[in-house]
Amino acid sequence: MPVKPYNTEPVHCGPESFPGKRSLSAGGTAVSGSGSSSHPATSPVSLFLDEVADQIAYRPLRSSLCQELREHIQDLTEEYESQGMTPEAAQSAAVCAMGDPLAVGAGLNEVHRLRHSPALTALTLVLLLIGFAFSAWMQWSPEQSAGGFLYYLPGTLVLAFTAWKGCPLAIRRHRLLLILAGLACLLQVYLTYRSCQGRHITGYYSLLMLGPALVLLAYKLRRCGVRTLLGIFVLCFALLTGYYCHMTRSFGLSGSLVLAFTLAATFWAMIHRGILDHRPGTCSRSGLYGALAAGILLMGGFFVSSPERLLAVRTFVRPEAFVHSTWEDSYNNVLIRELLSRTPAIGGLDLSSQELMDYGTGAWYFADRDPLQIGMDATGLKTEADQDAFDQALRKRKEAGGSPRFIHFDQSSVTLWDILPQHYHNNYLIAVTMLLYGRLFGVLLVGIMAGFYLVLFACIRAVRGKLAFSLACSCGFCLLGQSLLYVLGNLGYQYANFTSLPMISEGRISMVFNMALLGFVFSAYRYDRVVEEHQPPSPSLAGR
Amino acid sequence: MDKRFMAFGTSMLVLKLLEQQSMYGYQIIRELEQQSRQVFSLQEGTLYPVLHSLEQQGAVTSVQKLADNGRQRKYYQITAQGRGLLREKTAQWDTYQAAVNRVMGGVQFACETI
Repeated sequence: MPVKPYNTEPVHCGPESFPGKRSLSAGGTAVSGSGSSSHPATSPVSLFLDEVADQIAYRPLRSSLCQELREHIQDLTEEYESQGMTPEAAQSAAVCAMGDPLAVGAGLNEVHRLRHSPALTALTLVLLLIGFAFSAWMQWSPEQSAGGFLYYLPGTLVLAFTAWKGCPLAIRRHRLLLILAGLACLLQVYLTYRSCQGRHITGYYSLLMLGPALVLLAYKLRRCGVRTLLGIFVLCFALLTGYYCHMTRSFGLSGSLVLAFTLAATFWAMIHRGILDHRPGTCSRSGLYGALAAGILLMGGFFVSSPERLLAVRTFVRPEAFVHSTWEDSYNNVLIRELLSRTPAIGGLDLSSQELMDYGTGAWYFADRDPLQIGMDATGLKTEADQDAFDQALRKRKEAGGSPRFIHFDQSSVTLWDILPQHYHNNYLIAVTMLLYGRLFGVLLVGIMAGFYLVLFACIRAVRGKLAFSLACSCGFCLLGQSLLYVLGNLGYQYANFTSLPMISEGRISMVFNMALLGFVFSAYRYDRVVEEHQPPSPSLAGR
Repeated sequence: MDKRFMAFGTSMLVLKLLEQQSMYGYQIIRELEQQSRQVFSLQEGTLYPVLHSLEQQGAVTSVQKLADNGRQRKYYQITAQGRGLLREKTAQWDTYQAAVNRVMGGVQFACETI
């Protein structure tokens, strides 16, 4: 049966398509045309490629796309020359056979477009506005009154810059990024050993920064297989241990957990996507999953490898077993669970003044357990004699093992604010708002965050570039890990020290750091169709 | 010919060729001409939007290789996802072809050809 030709229209290159080209018959013979100039700028090839390039909106991509077309034209030109055409005629015929440059350029531009996620942008703005409102207008504690909301400006600028330049820079300058990450680690080691002020906070963020840095390292070494992956996990373990041992506060422990979560989840995603088992035959996917499981066990062992770390786990599971005074986070966990159980779905907690006093002093919990921990009344200290009597009573209480708070309210003045989770409300933002406005408010806030992460990971999943996907995963999981720990802490299940809630709580270094992570995800999604990841040319040749 | 059908058909043919071996753009065009006995003759530049679109979909991946003449070539190879897409397109094509045959030659003709 005769088959209808696939392309029924003859290839025709008239002068109206582009200047200086020839018409080509089905046999590939140039049949007309004015010939071509030897000047590269006006040669048919240059004119064709310029026309194609003009249709491509993302300028940095033009050269690589045109290069591929140029190679094709060169191959075609050689073929025509081998058929006996002159070089000029062969070149023009080759250009002609490529078709309409406008159609080719428009087709390529359609494929290689910058992408935007309006849903992710909208949810990010909502969360930033919520965080800004909390920081600016709800000055709950002295720690918050130091202008944390001011960091929303540089944070937003960092977000915008990273979204604009992050992915292209990371892909083109990944070696430089690795060197900078290494230098940052060395600087942190220096700050730690010199006991510089603020080393705990910078240590926390340099620990989190290790996530993307180690993922980048794993990506660079991905062709080396299981042993390399295990080696990276051993390195992670060593870094975790090294960092934690020099961080006296438990900032390091919560940061370590976020880092371990980030690495485990990102490596899983990389294996699932086939990024780590790059070369068939190097190692099987099941071998990589096995290495990942071994690495998770190794890193998991870190969290129970000393009495202090074990205590953090046990306190996380059963805080009531480790409450010794009202100053402890474990007491806040118990208090939050108690208060949330009494909070209605809509509307704040409604308590009598006697109940408020019981919660405010800690009497509700310590009256029949350890009365020495109940808060001491410090409202009537008007004279020096009053103060002396108070100091004496306090000294006695402390000698007996008590560690009471000073109570600056009485039954006539106590409010709900006085009994909320103590000594840093910014850490208990979700819990406090639920207690003030009802559980539905907290559910709504957590729901918005859940929606944000669903959209965030949908965007990450849509990223095709291997390096961009790997780094975006590490950024996304780092944000998610911090948020999960924060939300758990607000429901009475706090692990070690509080992490920050990205975009909402702790608007200082956290704001700038987390905006950089989020900005990278935006950038990876935005540039996925236009930024090509470099692949070193293979010396082998499998073709003509 | 309907442009949507053209796009559908071109991507199916390209995937079929890449299922046989990894190829670069020029090589795909020549193979297409050769295997179709010169029936399918694309305007060669229009292959690249199709190839790049398949790459965006994850149906093919590309790798740069250096040829003997020192020229860089971008080889495309089909992925597992691409094989799935090819199966899907082939099934659609079979349905389409059978329907056309039935209309053109009746049920008997369709039975004979499929």
